[in-house]
Amino acid sequence: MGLLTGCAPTGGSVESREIGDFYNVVFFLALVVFVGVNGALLYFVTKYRRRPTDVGMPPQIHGSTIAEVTWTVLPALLVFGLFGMSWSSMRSVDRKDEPPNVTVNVQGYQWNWEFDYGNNFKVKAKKDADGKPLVPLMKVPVGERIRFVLTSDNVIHSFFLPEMLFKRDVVPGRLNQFDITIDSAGLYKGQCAEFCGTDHALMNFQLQALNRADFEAWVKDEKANSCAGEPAGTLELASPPGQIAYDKDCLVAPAGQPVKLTYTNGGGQPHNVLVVKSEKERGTLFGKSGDPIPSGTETGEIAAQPAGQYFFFCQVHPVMNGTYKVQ
Amino acid sequence: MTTHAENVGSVSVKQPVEAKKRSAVLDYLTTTDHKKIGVMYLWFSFGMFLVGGLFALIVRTQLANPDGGFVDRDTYNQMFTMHGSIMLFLFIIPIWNGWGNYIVPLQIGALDMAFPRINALSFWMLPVGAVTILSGYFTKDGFAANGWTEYQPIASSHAQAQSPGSGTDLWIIGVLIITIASSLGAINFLVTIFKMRAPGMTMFRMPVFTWNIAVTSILALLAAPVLMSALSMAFIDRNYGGSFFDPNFGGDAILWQNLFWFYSHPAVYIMILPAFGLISEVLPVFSRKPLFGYKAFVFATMAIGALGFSVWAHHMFTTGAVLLGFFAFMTSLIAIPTGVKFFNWLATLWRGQLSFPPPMVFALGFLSMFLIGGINGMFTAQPPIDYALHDTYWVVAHIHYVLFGGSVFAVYSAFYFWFPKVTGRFLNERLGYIHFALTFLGFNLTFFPMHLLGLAGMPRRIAEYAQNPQWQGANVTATVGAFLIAISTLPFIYNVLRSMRYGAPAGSDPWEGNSLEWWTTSPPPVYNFASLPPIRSERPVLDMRLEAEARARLEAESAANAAPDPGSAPV
Repeated sequence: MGLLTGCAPTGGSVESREIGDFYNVVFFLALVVFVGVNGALLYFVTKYRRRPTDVGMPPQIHGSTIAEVTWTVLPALLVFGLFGMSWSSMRSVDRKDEPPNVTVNVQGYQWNWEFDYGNNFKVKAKKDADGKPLVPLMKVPVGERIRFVLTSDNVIHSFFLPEMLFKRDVVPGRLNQFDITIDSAGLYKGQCAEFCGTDHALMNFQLQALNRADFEAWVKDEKANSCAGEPAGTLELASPPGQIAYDKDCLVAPAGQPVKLTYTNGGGQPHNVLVVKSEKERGTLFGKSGDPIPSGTETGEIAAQPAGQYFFFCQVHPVMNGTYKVQ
Repeated sequence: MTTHAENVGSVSVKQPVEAKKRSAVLDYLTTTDHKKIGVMYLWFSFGMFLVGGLFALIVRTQLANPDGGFVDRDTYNQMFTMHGSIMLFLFIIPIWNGWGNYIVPLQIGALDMAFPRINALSFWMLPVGAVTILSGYFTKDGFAANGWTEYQPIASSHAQAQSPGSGTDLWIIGVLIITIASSLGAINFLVTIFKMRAPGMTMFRMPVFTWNIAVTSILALLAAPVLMSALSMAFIDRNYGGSFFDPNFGGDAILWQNLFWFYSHPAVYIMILPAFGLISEVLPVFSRKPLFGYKAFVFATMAIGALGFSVWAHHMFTTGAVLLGFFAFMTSLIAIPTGVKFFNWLATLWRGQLSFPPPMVFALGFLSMFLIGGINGMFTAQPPIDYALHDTYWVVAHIHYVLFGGSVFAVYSAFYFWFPKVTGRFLNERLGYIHFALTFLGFNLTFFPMHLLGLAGMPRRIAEYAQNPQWQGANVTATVGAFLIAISTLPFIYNVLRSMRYGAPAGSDPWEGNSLEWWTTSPPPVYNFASLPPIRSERPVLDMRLEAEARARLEAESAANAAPDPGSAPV
């Protein structure tokens, strides 16, 4: 039991220390109960064992009202006290009375994460040479209030930051959110904690807390690097059979000239592709709204656009999306 | 100690004429005798314990290595799903039904259960349910694979790439069958206990085990319909285009959790209350004292049963969809009646004359292990701490300290305690101690390290943890422990098989028991009792024993003094 206190990770956030302190209180009470009850048990077992010299029955004690009242009231007081602490700790951990400095919209899907900071800036899992997704890395400024808004498009996940002693479920059809202030810089692990299917175990992410200047530099870099490549007048986009994904999340086109786009759906799931001005402002540049194709190829032209970042997505599965960059 | 035999013998009830010697198999297949049905429950559910254990060994073998690799991830998901489903629905709940079936009519002095044929039906539905669940193996995608909780919408067919096969459908149907059986059984127990008690057996003279079975049955009766509804809804979602649980089609993902836990939290008490009852039989017998605070104990049982219906959402603290304060408060309240029970058990030992045959050793093991299950539950009952511990291995440790450290230790205690009644022979004592030592060691090796894993943040139900190789040490320890638990069943199985034939003869009352099952012969006759003693307290058999001793003493004295017979003064 002694090990447990040492192992309680009192992590890197203001809230986690609150939780850790409360844990230690409960741990101390637990230790007292454990030692008390097991101590009494051991003592009774040694002291009152039946001896050959015992004659007749031991005293037939049927009970005692005073004893019953005592050991009803004492645990009750303990429980009420504990509940009071729990209540105040809960209010402080869950408080949302200050506006956050940074809001991150977390989208969980099978089986990875996407972190949307707003303003067309998203962090997704990068892919390795074989096309396998890597563990996504999100960064937040240290010492500032961060709000995580959690959404899922199909099944329940849970956004778990073990070192912050915190998790909250990512429930389809609900907008869960929590605030956290991480006050020690560092790289932290995160993982999905609610069973979500085959690759549940692989749904990891990383969170790095760093100072404000570095955070802003990172956002700038990521925005610039997130979509890069040689602009081409003919673009191709495809969905592998049965998957809820595009093969690319970035299409780069030359400025000031029309572009030909060919989309191929490998079948198994209905998809379409709409190219729009931005995620918020959905003036359609390509594709027919409300017309998913079960499989096959669709070809069309995107009119000439000035240089800038645009957005494409699948109406059936908004988690399928990417950047259409004109340069 | 000869009183019973004389008593039984003094009433000249003839053995019913054995019509024709039918084969034992046919006899068991067609029986409506509560004792035979009880024995079948025991064989069946212990068999299921072994099957569920095999699934657990596969899970533990996989987790000994951070990269997994023993089975693929889909198979792994099926393994822990089947482990949980079998252990809960087909082992713990039915094995207490088995002991309840065998013992309750004997404890209240009844001839049989109130509805013997429904009793047979509710037993025979269990193997049907078991076969239905396990037949998922033969479908294209194997067993159900979403955990024994089958959370929606992941277990609904709308969810992408999930549960496409029929394994989940078979799971739903199987659990539905088992739940119906459990409801039938609950009605049967309640009618038996309320209507068929022997003359003089008032409610407050009932043995505590019977009391606990009564409260358990009320819980099962009230909770089971909710699970049946939820299962039907899930089945409709999967097969008939319903969308109760899928928000993308207008349903509610949290609804399933509310319905499921509204059954499954009381179900935890369905699994543990009979264990409380058993412990409350064993401790007094081997302390030679009455249960301390009998009435307080009964009221505490009722309080736990009632509170058990108001705490289901403590399984959902991190969903953001429940009123945390209310459920945290109600959950903490359960600690009070549970504490009362613990103090009463300790006070029963206090100033007793304790002896330590295997049933007592397992009962004491129950006390110290279930205590940990209660304590680590107090951590997760606090929402802020639960934010850290929910869905981690801490919770796995908690459920196993409650259900293994609690229920299973009590199940073993029941075997050693009542085996002499069922067979007329003792289980071997030395093998019993070896069995206890191995079980105790294996159990703690397996489940204690899980607290540390939970604190370190290892989530449940992951097939590998390559990102966190530092978790391997504790996992390997747990795996070694799991194999030790598997080994620990061997001396027990050998003991049972051997002692059925060659065990030392036990007689009708081997432990100097208190309740009526010790009044009749071992094994009891088909008609249970040839005669019943007067029932003047909750310990009628003890009363008769004391009376006989007193009478013998008086007779000896009067013979010595050659004084006139003072008559039989009751004690």
